[in-house]
Amino acid sequence: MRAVKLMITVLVLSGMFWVGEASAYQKSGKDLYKANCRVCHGVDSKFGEYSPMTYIQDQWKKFFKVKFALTHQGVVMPESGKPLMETLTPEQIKVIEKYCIDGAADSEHPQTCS
Amino acid sequence: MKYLVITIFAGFALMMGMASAQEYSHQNYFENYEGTKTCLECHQEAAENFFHSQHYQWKGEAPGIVNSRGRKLGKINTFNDFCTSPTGNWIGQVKNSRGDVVSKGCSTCHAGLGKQPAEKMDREQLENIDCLICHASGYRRDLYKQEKGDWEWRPILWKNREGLNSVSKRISAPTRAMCLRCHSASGGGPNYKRGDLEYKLVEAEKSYDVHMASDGRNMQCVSCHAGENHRVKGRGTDLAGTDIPGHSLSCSTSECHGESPHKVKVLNRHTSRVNCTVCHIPSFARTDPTDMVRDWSQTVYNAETDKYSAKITLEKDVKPVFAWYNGRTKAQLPGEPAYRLPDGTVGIMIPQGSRRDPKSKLFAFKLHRGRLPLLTGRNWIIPITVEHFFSNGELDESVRLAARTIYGVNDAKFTWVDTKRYMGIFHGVQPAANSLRCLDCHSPSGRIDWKGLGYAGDPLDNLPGSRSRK
Repeated sequence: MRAVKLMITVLVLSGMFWVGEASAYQKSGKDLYKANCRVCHGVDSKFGEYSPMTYIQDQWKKFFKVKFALTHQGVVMPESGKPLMETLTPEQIKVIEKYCIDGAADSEHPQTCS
Repeated sequence: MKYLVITIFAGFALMMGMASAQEYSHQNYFENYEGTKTCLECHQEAAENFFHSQHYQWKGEAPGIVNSRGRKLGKINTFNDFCTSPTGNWIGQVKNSRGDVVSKGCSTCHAGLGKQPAEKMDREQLENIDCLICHASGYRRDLYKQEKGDWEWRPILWKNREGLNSVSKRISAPTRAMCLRCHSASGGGPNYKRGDLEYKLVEAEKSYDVHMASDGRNMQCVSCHAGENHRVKGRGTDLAGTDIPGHSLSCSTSECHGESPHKVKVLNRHTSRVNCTVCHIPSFARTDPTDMVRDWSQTVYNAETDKYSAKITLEKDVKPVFAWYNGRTKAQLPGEPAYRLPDGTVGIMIPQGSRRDPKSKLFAFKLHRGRLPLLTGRNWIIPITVEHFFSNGELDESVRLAARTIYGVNDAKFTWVDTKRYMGIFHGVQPAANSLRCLDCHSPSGRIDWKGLGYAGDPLDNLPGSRSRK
């Protein structure tokens, strides 16, 4: 009986953790985009104005697969002076990628990230 | 062997090519989407038909309105007790004090690119039709200012040629998502207006709606509502115009349920006087609450959105009310004296019919209550210039603006009147096991107001040999 109770407790706690992680995941996509992408790609930016709804989902997938690393290799964050690729972890880049795809122009809810 | 490999490879490539072509129906029909003129190259006739439809004109023949007097009616030339009237509220950005856009006008849900529908069909009007809003999955649009200063709806991908070319080729008959993007968002919020058209229907389960459930019949809106030549079947009970005069949409058409759909005889006896919706839609607004009362005499400020609105009372899981309906409706029209109901309220859309009218059946309704301005001296209902009101909350000025725009009356004096609108509930049909049981109506605490419907009491009490059910 104790073993069953323990198992239920573990399952409930892991469920709570998973739910918490899922919402943090969604939130951090926008936050990461704002903090790391929007700083150079805001309205009227000389680097081009981009938001998730600038592209369709297929274009974002292609962009992160083919172009992102190539075009952002030498990018330095304006405030910290640190290279972008050292500022973001590969996991964080994945989160941003998901945020862009989920909010793309042909998604159910296109995002402007404003 | 070499030829076999080449053949297999070629076959595979062909299959991949076919799969790609199947993915987007219009993949190979054009290269670049250049606006509606691209569609017109092949679909001129369809566009001409659509130009005359309710979805474009926002009005149509109105044989179902007892006081239409042969006029074409619809939301473009009447008013309602939600956002009141598109006149004066058609298009444009309304910004709050923070500079955020809080409204873009009623044309947000017009299947056009910004120009108001005209009486006369010409090339400019045909090119104003936004085919993609109803036919291209993944297409979205937003409001932009043209160089001349006019507002227009434009694809959000207008700067992205590759993306726009992709979505503009994803053509299909309208899906539930395409229809519901407008039809469940009307009235200012999700499900506010109709109550039985929730966005949940895009992906609903059988227990929510047996017809449209993704795991059930998976019917699309157009499965029931599509007519020929871009005309749509059905006008509910409170739409003024109709796309197909003389045709009413019914569950009992021969290809669907017929007049005797039940296995139990006593239930089939009900169908001559009771519409299916009465028993099979026990409640509506089951996910998103719906607007049951909109009091325009009270100004409410939302600090979060920095936007003003009327006082709106939302309710969830609402039980419908029942009333007789013979297919016709009395409408409160602009410039006509207020139509007072016996309780003193003004009837905005009142179903016609009675117990003694053999064409009448009981239908399920959402009863929407409102409070609207009444022009002193003329006894006419005045709509409200909501686009003015949303940003600054100047209610009196918003009413006077509407009186000037619609009636040509300056410095209007007005009072407030309570209103009622009956809105037929037709969606969200639940599995038979959830439908109303006998005692839900035939009991002292039942849902039906027998006296209000013209009976002395529950007719079951008067059946020979009937026993008291108290």
